[in-house]
Amino acid sequence: MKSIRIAISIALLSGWAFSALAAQPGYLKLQTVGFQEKVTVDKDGTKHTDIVPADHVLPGTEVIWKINYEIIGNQPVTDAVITDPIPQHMQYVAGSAAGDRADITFSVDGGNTFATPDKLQVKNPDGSVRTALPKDYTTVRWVLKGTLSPGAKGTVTFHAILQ
Amino acid sequence: MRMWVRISLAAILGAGAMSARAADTAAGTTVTNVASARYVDSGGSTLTQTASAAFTVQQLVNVTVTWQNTSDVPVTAGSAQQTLLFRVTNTGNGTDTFKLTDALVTPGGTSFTPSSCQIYFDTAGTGIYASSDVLYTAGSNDPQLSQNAGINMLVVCNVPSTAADTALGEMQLTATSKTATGSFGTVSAGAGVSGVDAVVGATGGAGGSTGIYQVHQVALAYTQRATVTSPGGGNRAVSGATIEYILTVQPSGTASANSLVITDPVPANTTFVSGSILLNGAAVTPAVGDYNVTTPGAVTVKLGNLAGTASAQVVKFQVTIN
Repeated sequence: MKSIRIAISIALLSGWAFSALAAQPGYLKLQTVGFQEKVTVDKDGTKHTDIVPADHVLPGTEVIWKINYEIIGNQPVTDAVITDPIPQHMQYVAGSAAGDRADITFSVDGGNTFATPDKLQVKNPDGSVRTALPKDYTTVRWVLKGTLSPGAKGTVTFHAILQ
Repeated sequence: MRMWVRISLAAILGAGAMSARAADTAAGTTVTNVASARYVDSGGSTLTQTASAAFTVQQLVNVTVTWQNTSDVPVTAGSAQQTLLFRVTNTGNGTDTFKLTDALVTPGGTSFTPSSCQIYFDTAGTGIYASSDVLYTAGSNDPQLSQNAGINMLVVCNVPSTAADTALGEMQLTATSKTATGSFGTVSAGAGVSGVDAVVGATGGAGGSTGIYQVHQVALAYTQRATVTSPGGGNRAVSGATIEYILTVQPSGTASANSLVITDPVPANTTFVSGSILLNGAAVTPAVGDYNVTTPGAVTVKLGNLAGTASAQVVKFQVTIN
Protein backbone atom coordinates (compact mmCIF):
# COMPACT_ATOMS: atom_id res chain seq x y z
CA MET A 1 0.00 0.00 0.00
CA LYS A 2 2.73 2.38 0.99
CA SER A 3 4.84 1.68 -2.04
CA ILE A 4 1.88 2.31 -4.29
CA ARG A 5 1.28 5.66 -2.66
CA ILE A 6 4.89 6.67 -3.10
CA ALA A 7 4.86 5.67 -6.71
CA ILE A 8 1.79 7.75 -7.36
CA SER A 9 3.31 10.71 -5.61
CA ILE A 10 6.45 10.50 -7.66
CA ALA A 11 4.44 10.42 -10.81
CA LEU A 12 2.55 13.48 -9.68
CA LEU A 13 5.51 15.46 -8.47
CA SER A 14 8.22 14.72 -10.89
CA GLY A 15 8.63 16.28 -14.22
CA TRP A 16 9.76 13.66 -16.63
CA ALA A 17 11.37 15.68 -19.31
CA PHE A 18 11.17 14.38 -22.78
CA SER A 19 13.13 16.04 -25.50
CA ALA A 20 11.70 17.04 -28.79
CA LEU A 21 14.51 14.89 -30.14
CA ALA A 22 13.23 11.85 -28.26
CA ALA A 23 12.94 9.77 -31.35
CA GLN A 24 16.61 10.18 -32.17
CA PRO A 25 19.21 7.83 -30.76
CA GLY A 26 21.07 8.73 -27.62
CA TYR A 27 19.33 11.25 -25.49
CA LEU A 28 19.46 11.85 -21.78
CA LYS A 29 16.26 11.54 -19.79
CA LEU A 30 16.17 13.56 -16.56
CA GLN A 31 13.97 13.37 -13.48
CA THR A 32 14.00 15.44 -10.30
CA VAL A 33 12.48 14.06 -7.10
CA GLY A 34 12.43 15.34 -3.52
CA PHE A 35 12.27 13.09 -0.47
CA GLN A 36 12.13 13.58 3.28
CA GLU A 37 12.48 11.31 6.25
CA LYS A 38 9.33 10.55 8.14
CA VAL A 39 9.29 8.82 11.49
CA THR A 40 6.01 7.16 12.33
CA VAL A 41 5.32 6.11 15.88
CA ASP A 42 2.94 3.19 16.26
CA LYS A 43 0.49 2.91 19.10
CA ASP A 44 2.89 0.52 20.84
CA GLY A 45 5.64 3.13 20.60
CA THR A 46 7.63 1.47 17.84
CA LYS A 47 9.28 3.96 15.52
CA HIS A 48 9.59 3.50 11.78
CA THR A 49 11.71 5.77 9.64
CA ASP A 50 10.50 6.00 6.09
CA ILE A 51 11.77 7.96 3.15
CA VAL A 52 8.70 9.59 1.70
CA PRO A 53 8.17 12.00 -1.16
CA ALA A 54 8.63 15.60 -0.12
CA ASP A 55 5.26 16.80 -1.26
CA HIS A 56 4.45 18.76 1.88
CA VAL A 57 7.36 20.04 3.92
CA LEU A 58 7.72 21.88 7.21
CA PRO A 59 10.22 24.69 7.71
CA GLY A 60 13.45 23.26 9.08
CA THR A 61 13.06 19.98 7.24
CA GLU A 62 15.98 18.52 5.34
CA VAL A 63 14.91 17.57 1.83
CA ILE A 64 16.84 14.98 -0.16
CA TRP A 65 16.89 16.06 -3.79
CA LYS A 66 17.61 13.32 -6.29
CA ILE A 67 18.19 13.93 -9.98
CA ASN A 68 17.93 10.69 -11.95
CA TYR A 69 19.28 10.36 -15.46
CA GLU A 70 19.08 7.62 -18.04
CA ILE A 71 20.50 7.31 -21.52
CA ILE A 72 17.70 6.38 -23.88
CA GLY A 73 18.31 5.08 -27.40
CA ASN A 74 21.17 3.11 -28.86
CA GLN A 75 23.91 5.72 -29.07
CA PRO A 76 26.07 7.09 -26.25
CA VAL A 77 26.20 10.68 -25.04
CA THR A 78 29.23 12.58 -23.80
CA ASP A 79 30.13 15.72 -21.87
CA ALA A 80 27.06 15.48 -19.68
CA VAL A 81 26.76 18.17 -17.03
CA ILE A 82 23.88 18.35 -14.55
CA THR A 83 23.24 21.69 -12.91
CA ASP A 84 20.77 22.37 -10.12
CA PRO A 85 20.21 25.79 -8.54
CA ILE A 86 19.50 25.50 -4.80
CA PRO A 87 15.75 26.14 -4.66
CA GLN A 88 14.51 29.40 -3.24
CA HIS A 89 13.86 29.25 0.54
CA MET A 90 16.34 26.38 0.85
CA GLN A 91 19.89 26.10 2.12
CA TYR A 92 22.45 23.57 0.98
CA VAL A 93 23.55 21.02 3.58
CA ALA A 94 27.35 20.89 3.79
CA GLY A 95 28.90 17.77 2.34
CA SER A 96 25.62 16.37 1.06
CA ALA A 97 26.19 16.48 -2.69
CA ALA A 98 27.01 13.11 -4.20
CA GLY A 99 26.97 11.29 -7.48
CA ASP A 100 28.73 8.37 -9.13
CA ARG A 101 31.44 9.22 -11.65
CA ALA A 102 30.75 12.93 -11.07
CA ASP A 103 33.07 15.82 -10.38
CA ILE A 104 31.04 18.01 -8.01
CA THR A 105 31.51 21.75 -7.80
CA PHE A 106 29.46 24.62 -6.46
CA SER A 107 28.67 28.19 -7.34
CA VAL A 108 28.14 31.18 -5.09
CA ASP A 109 27.29 33.55 -7.96
CA GLY A 110 24.18 32.03 -9.44
CA GLY A 111 26.00 29.58 -11.67
CA ASN A 112 28.44 31.86 -13.45
CA THR A 113 31.49 30.23 -11.89
CA PHE A 114 32.00 26.91 -10.14
CA ALA A 115 34.66 25.61 -7.76
CA THR A 116 35.20 23.04 -5.04
CA PRO A 117 34.20 24.17 -1.51
CA ASP A 118 37.78 24.92 -0.43
CA LYS A 119 38.21 27.36 -3.30
CA LEU A 120 34.82 29.09 -3.08
CA GLN A 121 35.06 32.58 -1.73
CA VAL A 122 32.60 35.35 -1.01
CA LYS A 123 33.08 38.98 -0.14
CA ASN A 124 32.13 40.30 3.25
CA PRO A 125 30.26 43.60 3.44
CA ASP A 126 33.54 45.27 4.41
CA GLY A 127 35.21 44.04 1.24
CA SER A 128 37.31 41.33 2.81
CA VAL A 129 37.09 37.82 1.42
CA ARG A 130 36.18 34.64 3.26
CA THR A 131 35.63 31.00 2.36
CA ALA A 132 32.04 30.45 1.34
CA LEU A 133 29.66 28.75 3.74
CA PRO A 134 26.98 26.30 2.63
CA LYS A 135 24.38 29.04 3.01
CA ASP A 136 26.20 31.01 0.32
CA TYR A 137 25.90 28.24 -2.25
CA THR A 138 23.55 29.04 -5.11
CA THR A 139 24.09 26.10 -7.45
CA VAL A 140 25.37 22.54 -7.49
CA ARG A 141 26.99 21.08 -10.60
CA TRP A 142 27.87 17.50 -11.45
CA VAL A 143 30.21 16.93 -14.38
CA LEU A 144 29.70 13.30 -15.45
CA LYS A 145 33.01 11.89 -16.57
CA GLY A 146 33.48 9.88 -19.71
CA THR A 147 30.96 8.47 -22.12
CA LEU A 148 27.49 7.47 -21.02
CA SER A 149 26.52 4.28 -22.84
CA PRO A 150 23.02 3.47 -24.01
CA GLY A 151 20.95 2.30 -21.07
CA ALA A 152 23.30 3.85 -18.54
CA LYS A 153 21.48 5.35 -15.59
CA GLY A 154 22.49 7.08 -12.43
CA THR A 155 21.52 9.51 -9.73
CA VAL A 156 23.11 12.64 -8.41
CA THR A 157 21.87 14.07 -5.15
CA PHE A 158 22.15 16.78 -2.54
CA HIS A 159 20.34 17.76 0.63
CA ALA A 160 18.88 21.17 1.43
CA ILE A 161 17.01 22.50 4.43
CA LEU A 162 13.78 24.42 4.07
CA GLN A 163 14.18 27.76 5.80
CA MET B 1 -11.15 13.69 4.87
CA ARG B 2 -9.38 14.74 8.01
CA MET B 3 -6.41 12.59 8.88
CA TRP B 4 -4.49 12.72 12.09
CA VAL B 5 -1.09 11.16 12.01
CA ARG B 6 1.28 11.33 14.88
CA ILE B 7 4.86 11.67 13.77
CA SER B 8 8.01 12.58 15.55
CA LEU B 9 9.19 15.88 14.25
CA ALA B 10 12.45 15.69 16.08
CA ALA B 11 13.51 12.94 13.75
CA ILE B 12 12.20 14.59 10.62
CA LEU B 13 13.50 18.01 11.26
CA GLY B 14 16.69 19.55 12.32
CA ALA B 15 16.72 21.43 15.58
CA GLY B 16 15.89 24.53 13.60
CA ALA B 17 12.34 23.42 13.12
CA MET B 18 11.56 23.34 16.83
CA SER B 19 10.45 26.91 16.74
CA ALA B 20 9.62 29.15 13.88
CA ARG B 21 11.91 32.06 13.19
CA ALA B 22 11.45 35.26 11.28
CA ALA B 23 13.02 33.62 8.26
CA ASP B 24 10.66 30.65 8.25
CA THR B 25 9.23 30.10 4.82
CA ALA B 26 5.56 31.00 4.81
CA ALA B 27 3.02 28.18 4.82
CA GLY B 28 1.54 27.55 1.39
CA THR B 29 4.69 28.60 -0.45
CA THR B 30 5.55 26.40 -3.41
CA VAL B 31 9.24 25.51 -3.56
CA THR B 32 10.42 24.31 -6.95
CA ASN B 33 13.65 22.60 -7.86
CA VAL B 34 14.59 22.77 -11.53
CA ALA B 35 17.59 20.64 -12.53
CA SER B 36 19.05 20.75 -15.98
CA ALA B 37 21.41 18.54 -17.95
CA ARG B 38 23.53 19.55 -20.88
CA TYR B 39 25.20 16.90 -22.96
CA VAL B 40 26.54 16.10 -26.43
CA ASP B 41 24.87 13.39 -28.47
CA SER B 42 26.52 11.04 -30.90
CA GLY B 43 25.89 13.46 -33.74
CA GLY B 44 27.86 16.17 -31.97
CA SER B 45 24.86 18.29 -31.04
CA THR B 46 24.72 19.90 -27.61
CA LEU B 47 21.33 19.30 -26.04
CA THR B 48 19.68 20.40 -22.82
CA GLN B 49 17.09 18.74 -20.62
CA THR B 50 15.36 20.14 -17.58
CA ALA B 51 13.26 18.41 -14.96
CA SER B 52 11.56 19.97 -12.01
CA ALA B 53 9.89 18.90 -8.79
CA ALA B 54 8.03 21.00 -6.27
CA PHE B 55 6.56 20.81 -2.81
CA THR B 56 4.28 22.93 -0.71
CA VAL B 57 5.37 24.36 2.62
CA GLN B 58 3.24 23.08 5.47
CA GLN B 59 1.96 25.24 8.28
CA LEU B 60 3.83 24.93 11.55
CA VAL B 61 1.51 25.98 14.36
CA ASN B 62 3.22 27.75 17.23
CA VAL B 63 2.23 30.52 19.60
CA THR B 64 3.85 32.19 22.57
CA VAL B 65 2.40 34.35 25.30
CA THR B 66 4.71 36.49 27.40
CA TRP B 67 3.85 38.60 30.42
CA GLN B 68 5.03 42.10 29.65
CA ASN B 69 5.10 43.89 33.01
CA THR B 70 8.70 44.05 34.12
CA SER B 71 7.87 43.39 37.77
CA ASP B 72 4.90 42.49 39.94
CA VAL B 73 2.07 44.94 39.28
CA PRO B 74 1.48 46.92 42.48
CA VAL B 75 -2.16 47.08 43.56
CA THR B 76 -4.07 48.09 46.65
CA ALA B 77 -6.75 46.05 48.39
CA GLY B 78 -10.22 46.82 47.11
CA SER B 79 -9.00 48.40 43.88
CA ALA B 80 -10.83 47.69 40.61
CA GLN B 81 -9.77 46.99 37.02
CA GLN B 82 -6.09 46.36 37.64
CA THR B 83 -4.12 45.35 34.55
CA LEU B 84 -1.71 42.55 33.73
CA LEU B 85 -0.20 43.11 30.26
CA PHE B 86 0.56 40.16 27.97
CA ARG B 87 1.75 39.79 24.40
CA VAL B 88 0.47 36.98 22.18
CA THR B 89 2.77 36.20 19.25
CA ASN B 90 2.14 33.86 16.33
CA THR B 91 5.49 32.09 16.07
CA GLY B 92 4.25 29.72 13.38
CA ASN B 93 4.74 30.29 9.67
CA GLY B 94 1.19 31.09 8.67
CA THR B 95 -1.80 33.16 9.65
CA ASP B 96 -3.62 31.68 12.62
CA THR B 97 -6.47 32.58 14.94
CA PHE B 98 -6.19 32.14 18.66
CA LYS B 99 -8.66 31.51 21.46
CA LEU B 100 -7.71 33.19 24.72
CA THR B 101 -8.45 32.03 28.24
CA ASP B 102 -7.45 33.34 31.63
CA ALA B 103 -7.04 31.18 34.68
CA LEU B 104 -6.21 31.66 38.31
CA VAL B 105 -2.82 30.49 39.48
CA THR B 106 -2.36 30.04 43.21
CA PRO B 107 1.07 31.13 44.31
CA GLY B 108 2.79 29.94 47.44
CA GLY B 109 2.85 32.18 50.50
CA THR B 110 0.44 34.99 51.17
CA SER B 111 -1.91 35.28 48.24
CA PHE B 112 -5.22 36.71 47.15
CA THR B 113 -7.67 35.71 44.45
CA PRO B 114 -8.12 38.32 41.70
CA SER B 115 -11.84 38.58 40.95
CA SER B 116 -14.12 39.53 38.06
CA CYS B 117 -11.25 39.05 35.60
CA GLN B 118 -11.82 39.86 31.95
CA ILE B 119 -9.60 39.93 28.90
CA TYR B 120 -9.36 43.10 26.86
CA PHE B 121 -7.59 44.17 23.71
CA ASP B 122 -5.16 47.00 24.38
CA THR B 123 -7.19 49.14 22.01
CA ALA B 124 -5.99 52.38 23.53
CA GLY B 125 -2.39 51.17 23.33
CA THR B 126 -1.59 52.28 26.85
CA GLY B 127 -0.73 48.88 28.31
CA ILE B 128 -3.19 49.44 31.14
CA TYR B 129 -6.97 49.19 31.12
CA ALA B 130 -8.73 52.15 29.54
CA SER B 131 -12.47 52.54 29.05
CA SER B 132 -12.03 52.46 25.26
CA ASP B 133 -10.35 49.03 25.35
CA VAL B 134 -12.45 46.39 23.59
CA LEU B 135 -13.59 43.41 25.63
CA TYR B 136 -12.43 40.03 24.33
CA THR B 137 -15.14 37.41 23.97
CA ALA B 138 -14.04 33.89 23.07
CA GLY B 139 -15.38 32.77 19.72
CA SER B 140 -16.50 36.27 18.87
CA ASN B 141 -13.39 38.38 18.35
CA ASP B 142 -10.56 35.86 18.61
CA PRO B 143 -7.42 37.64 17.41
CA GLN B 144 -6.10 36.61 14.01
CA LEU B 145 -2.35 37.04 13.64
CA SER B 146 -0.17 36.71 10.58
CA GLN B 147 3.22 35.00 10.73
CA ASN B 148 5.37 36.54 13.47
CA ALA B 149 2.72 39.12 14.33
CA GLY B 150 1.88 39.85 17.94
CA ILE B 151 -0.87 41.61 19.86
CA ASN B 152 -0.99 43.06 23.34
CA MET B 153 -3.79 41.77 25.54
CA LEU B 154 -4.85 42.85 29.01
CA VAL B 155 -6.10 40.70 31.85
CA VAL B 156 -8.09 43.07 34.03
CA CYS B 157 -9.11 42.03 37.54
CA ASN B 158 -10.42 43.45 40.78
CA VAL B 159 -8.50 43.10 44.02
CA PRO B 160 -10.57 41.99 47.02
CA SER B 161 -10.72 44.42 49.92
CA THR B 162 -9.44 41.67 52.22
CA ALA B 163 -6.12 41.32 50.37
CA ALA B 164 -3.21 41.70 52.75
CA ASP B 165 -0.12 43.80 52.26
CA THR B 166 2.51 41.95 50.12
CA ALA B 167 -0.02 39.27 49.08
CA LEU B 168 0.44 37.96 45.52
CA GLY B 169 -2.31 37.36 42.99
CA GLU B 170 -1.51 35.48 39.81
CA MET B 171 -3.39 35.02 36.54
CA GLN B 172 -2.33 33.00 33.53
CA LEU B 173 -3.28 33.98 29.99
CA THR B 174 -3.32 31.13 27.48
CA ALA B 175 -3.61 31.39 23.70
CA THR B 176 -4.70 28.29 21.81
CA SER B 177 -4.48 27.90 18.06
CA LYS B 178 -7.78 27.38 16.28
CA THR B 179 -5.90 25.77 13.39
CA ALA B 180 -4.33 22.80 15.15
CA THR B 181 -3.51 21.70 18.66
CA GLY B 182 -2.33 18.52 20.26
CA SER B 183 0.98 16.89 20.87
CA PHE B 184 4.06 18.04 19.02
CA GLY B 185 3.87 16.72 15.46
CA THR B 186 0.15 16.17 15.21
CA VAL B 187 -0.87 16.70 11.60
CA SER B 188 -4.21 18.25 10.83
CA ALA B 189 -4.66 17.56 7.14
CA GLY B 190 -5.72 20.53 5.09
CA ALA B 191 -6.33 22.74 8.12
CA GLY B 192 -3.62 25.28 7.34
CA VAL B 193 -3.58 28.38 5.21
CA SER B 194 -4.50 27.72 1.57
CA GLY B 195 -5.50 24.19 2.58
CA VAL B 196 -2.01 22.99 3.42
CA ASP B 197 -1.53 20.55 6.26
CA ALA B 198 -1.11 22.13 9.65
CA VAL B 199 1.44 20.53 11.96
CA VAL B 200 1.51 21.21 15.68
CA GLY B 201 4.85 22.68 16.66
CA ALA B 202 6.85 22.52 19.85
CA THR B 203 4.38 24.68 21.75
CA GLY B 204 1.60 22.17 21.22
CA GLY B 205 -0.40 24.87 19.48
CA ALA B 206 -0.89 26.76 22.71
CA GLY B 207 1.13 29.14 24.80
CA GLY B 208 0.65 30.61 28.24
CA SER B 209 2.26 33.01 30.63
CA THR B 210 1.53 34.02 34.20
CA GLY B 211 1.30 37.61 35.37
CA ILE B 212 1.59 38.68 38.98
CA TYR B 213 -0.08 41.36 41.08
CA GLN B 214 1.28 42.30 44.47
CA VAL B 215 -0.63 44.21 47.10
CA HIS B 216 1.23 47.22 48.42
CA GLN B 217 -0.55 49.00 51.28
CA VAL B 218 0.41 51.64 53.74
CA ALA B 219 -1.21 52.00 57.16
CA LEU B 220 -0.93 55.12 59.31
CA ALA B 221 -1.20 54.91 63.08
CA TYR B 222 -2.14 58.31 64.51
CA THR B 223 -1.79 59.29 68.16
CA GLN B 224 -2.23 62.57 69.94
CA ARG B 225 -1.38 63.62 73.45
CA ALA B 226 -1.12 66.90 75.27
CA THR B 227 0.90 68.27 78.18
CA VAL B 228 -0.14 71.28 80.24
CA THR B 229 2.26 73.66 81.92
CA SER B 230 0.79 76.14 84.40
CA PRO B 231 2.19 79.71 84.64
CA GLY B 232 3.52 79.14 88.12
CA GLY B 233 4.71 75.60 87.45
CA GLY B 234 2.68 72.43 87.74
CA ASN B 235 0.25 71.17 85.16
CA ARG B 236 -3.10 72.62 86.01
CA ALA B 237 -5.20 73.77 83.06
CA VAL B 238 -5.76 77.30 84.25
CA SER B 239 -5.94 80.57 82.34
CA GLY B 240 -2.50 81.41 81.00
CA ALA B 241 -1.35 77.79 81.06
CA THR B 242 0.41 76.43 77.98
CA ILE B 243 -0.79 73.23 76.28
CA GLU B 244 1.64 71.39 74.01
CA TYR B 245 0.00 69.01 71.57
CA ILE B 246 2.12 66.10 70.31
CA LEU B 247 0.81 64.37 67.21
CA THR B 248 2.52 61.21 66.03
CA VAL B 249 2.04 59.49 62.63
CA GLN B 250 3.56 56.00 62.43
CA PRO B 251 3.49 54.54 58.89
CA SER B 252 3.74 50.82 58.14
CA GLY B 253 3.49 48.62 55.05
CA THR B 254 5.15 48.48 51.66
CA ALA B 255 3.45 51.37 49.88
CA SER B 256 3.69 55.12 50.32
CA ALA B 257 1.16 57.60 51.64
CA ASN B 258 1.36 60.48 49.26
CA SER B 259 0.63 64.17 49.84
CA LEU B 260 -0.01 63.48 53.49
CA VAL B 261 -1.41 66.48 55.40
CA ILE B 262 -2.12 66.72 59.12
CA THR B 263 -4.76 69.19 60.22
CA ASP B 264 -5.55 69.83 63.87
CA PRO B 265 -8.06 72.53 64.96
CA VAL B 266 -6.92 74.73 67.80
CA PRO B 267 -9.39 74.23 70.69
CA ALA B 268 -11.87 76.92 71.61
CA ASN B 269 -10.79 79.36 74.30
CA THR B 270 -7.14 78.91 73.46
CA THR B 271 -4.66 81.01 71.49
CA PHE B 272 -2.09 79.52 69.14
CA VAL B 273 1.50 80.27 70.16
CA SER B 274 3.12 81.84 67.14
CA GLY B 275 6.13 79.93 65.78
CA SER B 276 5.51 76.91 67.98
CA ILE B 277 5.03 74.31 65.23
CA LEU B 278 7.83 71.71 65.19
CA LEU B 279 8.18 68.79 62.84
CA ASN B 280 10.45 66.08 64.21
CA GLY B 281 11.90 68.67 66.59
CA ALA B 282 12.68 71.38 64.03
CA ALA B 283 10.77 74.56 63.33
CA VAL B 284 8.76 74.41 60.13
CA THR B 285 8.86 76.84 57.22
CA PRO B 286 5.57 78.48 56.23
CA ALA B 287 5.46 76.17 53.20
CA VAL B 288 5.36 73.10 55.43
CA GLY B 289 3.33 74.22 58.46
CA ASP B 290 1.06 77.08 59.38
CA TYR B 291 -1.77 78.16 61.63
CA ASN B 292 -4.98 79.66 60.27
CA VAL B 293 -3.59 80.04 56.71
CA THR B 294 -4.17 76.75 54.91
CA THR B 295 -7.03 75.80 57.23
CA PRO B 296 -8.93 78.47 59.19
CA GLY B 297 -8.59 77.98 62.91
CA ALA B 298 -6.33 74.97 62.58
CA VAL B 299 -2.70 73.94 62.46
CA THR B 300 -1.79 72.36 59.11
CA VAL B 301 1.42 70.41 58.51
CA LYS B 302 2.25 68.95 55.07
CA LEU B 303 4.21 65.74 55.48
CA GLY B 304 4.42 65.09 51.73
CA ASN B 305 5.07 61.53 50.54
CA LEU B 306 5.64 59.12 53.35
CA ALA B 307 6.93 55.60 52.72
CA GLY B 308 5.56 52.76 54.78
CA THR B 309 9.09 52.10 55.94
CA ALA B 310 9.67 55.67 57.18
CA SER B 311 10.11 56.40 60.85
CA ALA B 312 7.40 58.05 62.93
CA GLN B 313 6.65 61.70 62.15
CA VAL B 314 6.15 63.89 65.20
CA VAL B 315 4.35 67.25 65.02
CA LYS B 316 4.26 69.53 68.05
CA PHE B 317 2.56 72.89 68.59
CA GLN B 318 1.51 75.00 71.55
CA VAL B 319 -1.54 77.00 72.59
CA THR B 320 -2.25 79.06 75.68
CA ILE B 321 -5.49 78.92 77.60
CA ASN B 322 -7.38 82.22 77.44
